[in-house]
Amino acid sequence: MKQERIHDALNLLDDDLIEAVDTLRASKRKRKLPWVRWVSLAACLCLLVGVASFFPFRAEDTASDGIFFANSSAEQEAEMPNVIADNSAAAGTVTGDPLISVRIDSRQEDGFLGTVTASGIWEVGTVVKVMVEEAQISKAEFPVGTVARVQFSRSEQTDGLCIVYAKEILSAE
Amino acid sequence: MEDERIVALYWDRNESAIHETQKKYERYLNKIAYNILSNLEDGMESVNDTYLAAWNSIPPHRPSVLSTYLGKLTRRISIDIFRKRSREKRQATEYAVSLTELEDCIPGGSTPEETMEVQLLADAINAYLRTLPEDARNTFIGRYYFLDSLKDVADYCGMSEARAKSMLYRTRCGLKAYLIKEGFAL
Repeated sequence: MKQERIHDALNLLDDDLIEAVDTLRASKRKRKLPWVRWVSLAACLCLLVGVASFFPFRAEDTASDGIFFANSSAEQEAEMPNVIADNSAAAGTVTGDPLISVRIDSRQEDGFLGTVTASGIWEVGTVVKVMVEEAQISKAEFPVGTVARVQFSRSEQTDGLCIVYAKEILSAE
Repeated sequence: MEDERIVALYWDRNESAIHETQKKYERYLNKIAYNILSNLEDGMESVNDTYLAAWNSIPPHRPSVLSTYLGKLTRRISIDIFRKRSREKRQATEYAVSLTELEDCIPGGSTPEETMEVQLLADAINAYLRTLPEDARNTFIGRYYFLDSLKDVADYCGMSEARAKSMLYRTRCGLKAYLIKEGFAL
């Protein structure tokens, strides 16, 4: 039959012609209507904007919650409200970490409890627990009742108590 | 495994050549067979026969693109199985039965004239397809060599079914005119 002869002949097609179609079959390109591409792009943009609106700039949120994830970014430090950034402190002080002024109320094994005396990250009167290594603070230099300027690397809030991890304890001026 | 290494296994008469071929191309060959036979069992038979045909033909052949070489084997074997099944189904009348009986009187295989005729037809079809735009050529080969559905052909050629259908129609008309011009009696 004629059609059978053609099918037999098609079995002798040049390999390069067959390979070209094989590549297409493997990729299985779908027909894209032009407007589908633009609608997809618009949908992606809307999704990005929607997701971004759920994540406002972190420093604003963390400042109001009283939790600050310290890093050495100068930009982030600049946006922290009323943070005392004192670069004239004693030698060895790490610049860029926030400072708070705390009146030492009572000494504890791993640091001291105190009250914030200058507004900044926390309001005046906020009770904070300052975690320090023994070597960082001497009882003679920082007796109960003195105001210390605490440069800290990180802070957290546990059971309503603000806890800061001191990097340096500086004398209040 | 790359085709070159699989072909080397055939040349070394290493039986793992069949295993590697099956691992890489079984799905591809099953698709071709199923397009022709629409029957899983017959398709499996065709693909198994393909592995045997590959083992018997490599060497002396050394195909550079194994998929195309195996695909042609599967296509030919599947069409032969289809024709055999069709003949078996036609055995409803004495005429059909007699055709099958008389077939045994003809020596197996094609005559040299028939083989030459098919080769000449193939050369003409190849030449005609090369005159076509890429889309038209690809749809024709997809539909009539790979025997994919119109929907599949339209999908991977990046066009609507309606456009693929009309393109195929124009290509068939063009092929007929070309073959008549080349002196083929249709």
